[in-house]
Amino acid sequence: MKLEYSVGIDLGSTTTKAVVLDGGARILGRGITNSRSNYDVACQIALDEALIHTRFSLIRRHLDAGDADALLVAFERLFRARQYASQLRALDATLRELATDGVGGLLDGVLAEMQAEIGALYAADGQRKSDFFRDLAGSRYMELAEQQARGIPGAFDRLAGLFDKAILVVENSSDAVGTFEEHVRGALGDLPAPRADLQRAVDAVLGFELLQIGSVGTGYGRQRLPFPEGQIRSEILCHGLGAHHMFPRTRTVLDIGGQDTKAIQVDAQGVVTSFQMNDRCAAGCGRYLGYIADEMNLGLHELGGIASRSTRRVKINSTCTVFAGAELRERLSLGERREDILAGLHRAIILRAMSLLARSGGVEEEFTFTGGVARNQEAVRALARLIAENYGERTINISPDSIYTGALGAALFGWRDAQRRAEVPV
Amino acid sequence: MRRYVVNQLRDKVIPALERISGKAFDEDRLREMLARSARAEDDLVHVLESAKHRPSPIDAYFGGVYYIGPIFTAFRGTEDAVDYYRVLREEVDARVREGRGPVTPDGELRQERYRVVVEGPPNWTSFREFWKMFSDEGAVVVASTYTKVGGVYDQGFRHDPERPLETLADYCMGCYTNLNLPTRVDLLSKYVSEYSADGFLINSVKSCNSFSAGQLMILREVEKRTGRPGGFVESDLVDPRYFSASNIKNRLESYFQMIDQKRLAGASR
Repeated sequence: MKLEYSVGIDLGSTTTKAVVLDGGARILGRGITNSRSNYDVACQIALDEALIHTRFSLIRRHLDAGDADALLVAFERLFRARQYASQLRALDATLRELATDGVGGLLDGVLAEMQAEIGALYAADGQRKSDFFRDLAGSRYMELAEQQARGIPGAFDRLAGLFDKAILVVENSSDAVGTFEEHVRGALGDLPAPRADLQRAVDAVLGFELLQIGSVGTGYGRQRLPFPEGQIRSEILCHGLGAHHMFPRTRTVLDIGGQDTKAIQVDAQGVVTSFQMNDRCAAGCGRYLGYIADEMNLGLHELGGIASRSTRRVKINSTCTVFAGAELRERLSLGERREDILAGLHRAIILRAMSLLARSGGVEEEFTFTGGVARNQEAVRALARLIAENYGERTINISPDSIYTGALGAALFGWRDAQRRAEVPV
Repeated sequence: MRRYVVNQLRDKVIPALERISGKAFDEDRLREMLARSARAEDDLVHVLESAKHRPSPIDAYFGGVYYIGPIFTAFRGTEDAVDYYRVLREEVDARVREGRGPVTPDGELRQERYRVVVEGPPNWTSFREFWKMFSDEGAVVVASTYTKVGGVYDQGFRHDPERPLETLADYCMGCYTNLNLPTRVDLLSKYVSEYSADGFLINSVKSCNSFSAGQLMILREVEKRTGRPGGFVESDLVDPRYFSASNIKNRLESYFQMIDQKRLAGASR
């Protein structure tokens, strides 16, 4: 059986996202990966991930048991654990291939421990700070390498250097992650008790041939996408359309991505009517927060939570990424609390976005916030407050899937193009 | 106002120039030059207005700066300028007759896909790259305000040999960057409609506040009056650090695709 789909790929400066739509323009799957230095691989992996998610959606459609949702969540965890194990095996092999100077014994210790931890990492209560193998394996590897190398001069640096080389090989190889069929069958066997209905659903979905009939690429790296020119759209149009699709009453969209901030106005059909974005200086964009997180030795996802505990926000004057570290250290040396500084930094970013919003025409109606920074609760809180102060109370929409807005818009353009091609006989 | 400038010319500028150059002011010679200038101005206006044709035979911004060069700099009032504009006019008329588009750095533009009006100076440090971002998309600038910084001749002004100092005063006060913001909005809106433009773009530069001040207000007002989309890019005339090719290309592409989308939406309604 064939299933026709359209895909949109948003190749951002930090992450690459893919969204897969079915013939009725309903979302079937989403995939995300870090953009790394190889855009072609990033696109391929984002698409592969979206197609995996698509197959899980299709499996869900074939299940009608009362516990189907919970079953699928548990099943997908088992699947992800197998994927992780597969990548870890590839990492293991690559590390050993690259290791030449007698660190093999230390690697044994690190990798055995990582192997033993997979079950707990993907347990129902497992804490995973990231969805990307590079981050998950990398942070644990470094911790374990530090333990193993304790007391041996130069050993940690050698282990860390090895990882940096090996991870590039692993994340740029599509073989490392293994196939959907291999892992889904393995995961069926890992279930605590066999489920015939799930088995049937998996078999049915494995029988589907997924056929791409429409595709559009967008994003910062869109010129580098392996797509023909006619299938590339500006991310501004894609964000506008994606936000319109998620929240049809949207008239203003703010997107804060890795190195762009865009304020977009759309009409009732999701057509962009005006937009403004930052000039070449990427001050106050997502990258700024990433830099601050690095400076503070925190995960990007932890910043908002810490900032929201602030009781006395510090006034930050600069959103310049180059000066961010200096400003941060100065504030810390003056005895300011970490959460108060972070709250000030979040407000500073949003103030910069507010000026772009004003330039683009302000906020008249429903407002949708997209991009990676929309996942940060403190950024959202600062934005809501400043919008209320400047424009009055407005509905602010934030989808948990906001990071996929551009890819969704691209997928919708791809779907429309496919519809038009179907209408016009060639 | 005119009397104020005329007095300045008579009492300050002319005596200072006489002292520095050691030559006496010769009003008859000035009249002759003004008469020749007016002839060149007639032809310049004819050339700039040729962009009302479809396809436009010229690019009135990137190409336009070459057309205003002689008259705005060293050749005003000379026979050379008169000759240049006559030859230019003939060439442009021939292009109109033959239905040919403008010349770009990569040769003749084959298909005019977008007609836009541009406000603001060009980016001199990446001039060719900036132009190419337009011509690659089939975008032709049909009217620009930068080509009016040395006089808005297309709005009727001509140097008048009968009133030499008064006409110089009028010229100074009428240059585009000496116009107030409401007049600039009027002019841009007029260009958008008279040149059948799909929209208008502002190239906002950091180093010339005579242009940049008030551009966001101009953008909103012209959008409101014409109903055509306005675009906004940022660069500089002279400082290459402000020119980010990927950022500007992104905005221009988005802008042209926005026009496409509007056309598509307009066609299906």
